[in-house]
Amino acid sequence: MTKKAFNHKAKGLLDDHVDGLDAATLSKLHQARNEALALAAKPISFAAYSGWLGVGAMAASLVVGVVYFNQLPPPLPAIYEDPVQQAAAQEIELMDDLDFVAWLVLEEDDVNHVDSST
Amino acid sequence: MVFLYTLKDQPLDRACVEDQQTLLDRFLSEVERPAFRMADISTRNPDDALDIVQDAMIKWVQKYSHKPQKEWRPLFYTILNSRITDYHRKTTLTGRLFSWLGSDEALAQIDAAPSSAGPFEMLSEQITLERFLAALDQLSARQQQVFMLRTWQGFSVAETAKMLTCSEGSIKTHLSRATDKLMNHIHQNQGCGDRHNQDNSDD
Repeated sequence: MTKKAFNHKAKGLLDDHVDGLDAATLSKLHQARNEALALAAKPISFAAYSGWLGVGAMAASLVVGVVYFNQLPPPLPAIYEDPVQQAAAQEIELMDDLDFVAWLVLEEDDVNHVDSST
Repeated sequence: MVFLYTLKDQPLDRACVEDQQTLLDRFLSEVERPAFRMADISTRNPDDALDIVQDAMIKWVQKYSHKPQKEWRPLFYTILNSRITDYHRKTTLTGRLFSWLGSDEALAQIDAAPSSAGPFEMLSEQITLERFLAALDQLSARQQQVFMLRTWQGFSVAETAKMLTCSEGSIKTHLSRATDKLMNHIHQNQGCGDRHNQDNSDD
């Protein structure tokens, strides 16, 4: 007997074996199938969304965290600011004449001081 | 406008759902019995086999029933065999140990069997279901899966390899060894039976 003939015979035997299922087993299989199909017909419940809700909550908290930590620090009081650096940030060319810029800033401070005292 | 649209489409949607339910029901009713037999042969326990089939049905309906219809069968058998494999993983160590001892014993018997090709010609129409199932019981779980998927359910080598997540070469090897073992076992038992009958007639 060749393997091919044997396999053919085996297929026939297994098909017969399926046909010989008893009524009790067939009934249980029918019940199992109906339960599975009932799940297919049921609309998607809250539980199905709960996984996505968790993901959404995590993403939202991540965004909040990023926004919070990316906020710029509050500007320092004027007393701590270096007038030369402040001026240089505004106009890089002024760095060529630092003495002049320092004098300019100090002059401005003096004017402001006088204005505020009056 | 929206209300009219909804009213108009509602019966259509319901009909589509009903059609889909009918298709699912038809498909599951086709596969449930072979699936049960496959699980039953592999687990040797009808209750566990039923649980496996039910799990496979539910998983398939929930996850894959929306896939194209031509993919349903391979997907279902993939889930089923995955469940069967999980079952074997979860069985107790003792159970597995006895099973392995049984397999080794069977292998030793197969090794001791005459290797001449002649006897297979006598292995013909006399194969009964009982003998065949007893022989099938001697195969490893993976060999059973490969034999049933390839020979019984007619899946291709590539499809079976995908289902069982192993190489095509491995599927071919498993199938060849499974067929050899089955033929040897049946032949050996047939020979024993014949000798037994002959002894009785001599008495």
